[in-house]
Amino acid sequence: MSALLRNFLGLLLLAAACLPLAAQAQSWESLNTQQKEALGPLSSTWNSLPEKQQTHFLAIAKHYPKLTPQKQQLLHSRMETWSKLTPEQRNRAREKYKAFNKVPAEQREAVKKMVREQQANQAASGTAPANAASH
Amino acid sequence: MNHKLNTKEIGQLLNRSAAQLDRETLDKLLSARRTALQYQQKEQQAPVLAWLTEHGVIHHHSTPFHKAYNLGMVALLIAFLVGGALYWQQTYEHDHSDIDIAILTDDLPVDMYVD
Repeated sequence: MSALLRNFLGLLLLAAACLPLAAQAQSWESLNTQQKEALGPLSSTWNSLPEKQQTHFLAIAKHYPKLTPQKQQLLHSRMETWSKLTPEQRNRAREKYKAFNKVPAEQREAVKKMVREQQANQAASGTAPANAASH
Repeated sequence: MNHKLNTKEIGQLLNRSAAQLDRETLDKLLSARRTALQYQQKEQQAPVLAWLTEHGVIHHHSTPFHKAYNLGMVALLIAFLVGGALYWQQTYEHDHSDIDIAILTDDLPVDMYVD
C-alpha cells in the first residue's frame, strides 16, 4: 500500500510542479531588468495584458539585446500599437509580411520608396502621417 | 524394452508418476508452475505496461481496489501527456517572435501590414 501511496503522491507532486508552467501570467514587478528595458513601452498596460500576449512579448524581449540600437528604438515605438491589435489582426499582418517578402526585391524597394515619399509629402504639407501612430 | 512410447503413453506415465508424489513435492511443483505462469504473463504484456508493472506504477493484482487504482494512474498519465503536448504546442508552435520582431523593425510602418 505504501508503494501505491508513494506513486500517487509522486504524480500529484509532479502535477503541482507543472502548474507554474501552465499559468505564466507575470506582473510587471516580477520581470527582470532586461525584460523591463525591452518591454518598456508596455509598462503601464503590461499587467492587464492576457497571459498569452505576455508570453509572446516575453519571447520578443529575449531577442531585444541582440538588436541594433536603431532597431531597438523602432521596436519600442511600435510595440504599443502592436499590443493593441487583435490576435486576428496580428496573424493577418504576419501573413501579409510573409507574402510581401516573397515579392521580388526590386518591387519591394519600389513600394518602400513610394511609402517613404508619401510620408515625406504628408510631413511637408503639415498633415499628420496616416501611420504616425505605428512609428 | 525398445518399445517406442507415443505421446498418449508418456502422458499416462507422467500422470501415474504424479499421483505417486508426496504432498510437499506437489506443493512445490504447484508453486513453481504459478511462478512460471506469472513470468509468462509479464512477458506477454506490452513493453510499457511491463515497465510500469515492474516499477510498481500499476499493479498486476485484479482486486477492485487495484483495478480502480490502475485506471486512475493510467488516466493521470494520459492527462499529463495531453497537458504536456498542449502546453508545448501553445508555447513553441505559436512562437511568432522572429516574425513579430521583423515586422516591428521593418522599414515599412506596421500599418502597412494591418487591415
